[in-house]
Amino acid sequence: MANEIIASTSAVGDSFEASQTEVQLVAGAAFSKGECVLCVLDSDGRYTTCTAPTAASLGTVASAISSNGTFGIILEDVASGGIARVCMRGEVKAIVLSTSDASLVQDGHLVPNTSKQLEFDLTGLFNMKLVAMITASVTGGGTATSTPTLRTVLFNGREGFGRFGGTAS
Amino acid sequence: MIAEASAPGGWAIKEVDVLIRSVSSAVVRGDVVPINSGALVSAGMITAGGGAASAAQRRTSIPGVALEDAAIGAIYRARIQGRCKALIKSTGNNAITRDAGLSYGTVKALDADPPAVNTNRWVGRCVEEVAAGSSSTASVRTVVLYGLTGLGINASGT
Repeated sequence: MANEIIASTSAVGDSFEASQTEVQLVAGAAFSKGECVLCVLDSDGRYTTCTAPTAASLGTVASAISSNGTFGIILEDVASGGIARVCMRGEVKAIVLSTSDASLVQDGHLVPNTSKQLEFDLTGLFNMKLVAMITASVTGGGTATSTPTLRTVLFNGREGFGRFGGTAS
Repeated sequence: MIAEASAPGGWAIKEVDVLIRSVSSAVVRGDVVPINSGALVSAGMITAGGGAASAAQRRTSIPGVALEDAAIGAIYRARIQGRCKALIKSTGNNAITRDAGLSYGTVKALDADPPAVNTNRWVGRCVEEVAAGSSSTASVRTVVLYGLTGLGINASGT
């Protein structure tokens, strides 16, 4: 394991680089680049495998309790049982959609779903873990944003960016 | 790119330990103690009471897990991030499964039970499971602690 970055700085007007965490996990199924997966602990407390997110890993919205999982983004296609390259934190291309075909707004937050996508529509997802921010706006309409598409996001599947504070319904 | 990477075989949260002086209560290995964030940046030795966390501390403080026993006034090592053995419980006596989220609970323990964790800060994940029916009393189990960053604060209602 490489050293964890404590701090980085930028010159005035420069962009900054997000701290990037890339891990190699055993793929519990075949996955494609950009899919969001659930990272699973082993009995030693290490993340060793990845699977499709389960409903339980997303949290139980009805009870307003959301004990969410740890998520990652697949960096390249991998067969079941192969070694998956997974981004757990950083800037990455992930599969994004808005089920309602709403316009994606830059900095909008995203939550994972069981279809291994990042969802922009948050209505009803009270208390769920926000794992990514979309980095560019996209105008909705037709199927412009309801079609799952690889888009650049700022991702943090470990700690997340907080929880969605909307209403439960 | 600023990178942190792993080889095949898995990846673990980096372990971070601090030295603490216990100022009002003795601590036992596995106890979860509240550390106020100011303690981490002030000059001098970090201090912590060593007792169970208050409601406010369960919501906002940094939890440290005692890695050794210490008497009042003694200095001990505590982990604030990474794998460690900590007291965990389920107030509702439910099963605590691997990967389950743990929040900062009462009686110096992390708690997995939803009704007991409202407004508390999620700070860890269970590694070593506890069966239903035997989890209402806190026991020392392996966890992955996210004490520095936390995993969010649970909302107040159901």
